[in-house]
Amino acid sequence: MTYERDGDTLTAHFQRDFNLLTARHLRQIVQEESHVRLDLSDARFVDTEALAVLWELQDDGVDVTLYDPPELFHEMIDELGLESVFDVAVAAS
Amino acid sequence: MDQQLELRNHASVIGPATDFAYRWGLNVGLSDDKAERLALAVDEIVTDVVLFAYPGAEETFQLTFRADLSTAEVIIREQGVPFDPAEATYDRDQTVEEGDFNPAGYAVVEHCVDEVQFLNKGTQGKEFRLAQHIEAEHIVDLAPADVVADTSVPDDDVSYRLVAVEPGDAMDIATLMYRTYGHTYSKEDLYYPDRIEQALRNDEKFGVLVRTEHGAAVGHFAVLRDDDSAIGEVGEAVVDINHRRRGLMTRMLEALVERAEAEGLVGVYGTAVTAHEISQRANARFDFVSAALNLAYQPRERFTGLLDDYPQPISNLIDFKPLVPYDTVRPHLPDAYGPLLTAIYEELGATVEPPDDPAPAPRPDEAAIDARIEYDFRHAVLVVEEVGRDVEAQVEQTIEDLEDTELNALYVDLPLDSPHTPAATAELRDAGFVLAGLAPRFHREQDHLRLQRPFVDLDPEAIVVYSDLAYVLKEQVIGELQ
Repeated sequence: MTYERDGDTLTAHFQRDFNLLTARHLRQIVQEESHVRLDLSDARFVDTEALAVLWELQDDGVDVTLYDPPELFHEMIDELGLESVFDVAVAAS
Repeated sequence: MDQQLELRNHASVIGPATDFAYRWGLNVGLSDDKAERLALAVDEIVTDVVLFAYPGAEETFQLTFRADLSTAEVIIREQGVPFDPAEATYDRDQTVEEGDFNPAGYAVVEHCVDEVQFLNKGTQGKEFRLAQHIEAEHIVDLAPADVVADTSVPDDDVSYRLVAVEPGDAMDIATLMYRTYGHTYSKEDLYYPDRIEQALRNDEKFGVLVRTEHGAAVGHFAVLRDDDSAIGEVGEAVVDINHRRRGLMTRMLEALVERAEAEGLVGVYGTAVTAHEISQRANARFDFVSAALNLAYQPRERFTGLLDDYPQPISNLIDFKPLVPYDTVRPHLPDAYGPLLTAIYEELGATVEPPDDPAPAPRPDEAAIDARIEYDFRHAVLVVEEVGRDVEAQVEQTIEDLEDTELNALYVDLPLDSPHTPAATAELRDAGFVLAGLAPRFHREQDHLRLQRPFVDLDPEAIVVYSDLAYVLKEQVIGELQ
């Protein structure tokens, strides 16, 4: 995972699975940012440990947006009934 | 052949384990989509093991990767703290309210793979089994209609040549199978050229093909190697309807047996259906010995159009032919089955003598059992590797864990070189198991006693057997069931 900061926005790019390790890493690097943008266009999948960290960030008041998550992600949150919980955008800018 | 990984319960193993699962899935024939889903399911289970199975301790756990031509299965074994996924029910509102996503992981697993099994093995730990069905293109969708429908009659003096099957013959074999059997052949892998080709490339089987002088494929016969013993199942036999009664089946079998011997196999066997006696007659003609009767071995539906009126799951006979002759054997035979098993051994050419263990080691407390679930065939085989005192308890627990799989039957293979097999047999008989017969050289080239418990009602009259030995076997098995 690579990331950059721009003001109060942190943008992270996932080159592989968004799993326990990368979720922990994300949790560590988010500091005072109020916006987190996650580019998931190259991610293979997002697991439930990652969902838990996304939920925590949102619970802390961070505005999280997921860009281009894999198809399996959409299927997964649909299966779990969590479509309304996460903010998903079609294309990273 | 199983692939095994032993991993530490550290977060750093999660990525490599899921990467391996994904790559392995592709290699055994899964589509990219199915391999990704398998990888996510493995990620979820492995993550749970890493986080929760061994609190505060550094331990290891195992991943086993097992595949045949139609199913890819990953088995995750651990011996950590007790856990029952049935009690970890996903509650959407609770998750959204409290942020506890742990039960969601198992829900994701169930969504991602075609089959999920959780086996509680008591003190031996737990197993999560994740399986994906391997998709492939059916011959009907690949070959031109006039090719699969070809029924041209040959000249009487047509000549034939037998050749070893090559991966490039897969299309011809699938076409021949379909042209001859329509949809009625039970091993549907033979209708999928990709699966045939993969099995040949992986050396999972070898076979012979009969071609006419014009190159047309008109006969096929193969041996499928077993995973854990140097034996193979003969099958996939087919002769084009217009080329029968020309001795082709005999020539193919002779060539196959010769090849099997050269490959170092110690025996070959056929699984003959008992809905009729045609296959059994053919096996008997080639000196195969009926050694076991597997009740409810496969669903009737696998014989599309052929056995539509058959009233029950199909029971099969194991017909065995040793390629390395039996000599004197000293198996630990349970008293109840001694005479019948001795008769089978003698038919196989063995001389049976009493075992000569001077002082057998005490029976271990814990049994080691490998469960092999045949999802498509709706049965499971439990191979007992160590005949511990809790064999019966472990078997019962497995039956309970597999309840949702709706198995038709469960078989238990006990090693006849263990002095504890007679005691375990008595315990399993008390638990309702009955004889299936002898599984000759079935695991690690060793003979095993096969017991069984069908979970469906069976009409004995519908089980047709041919040889004298098969008749005696059936009498014993049905007598015990009643």
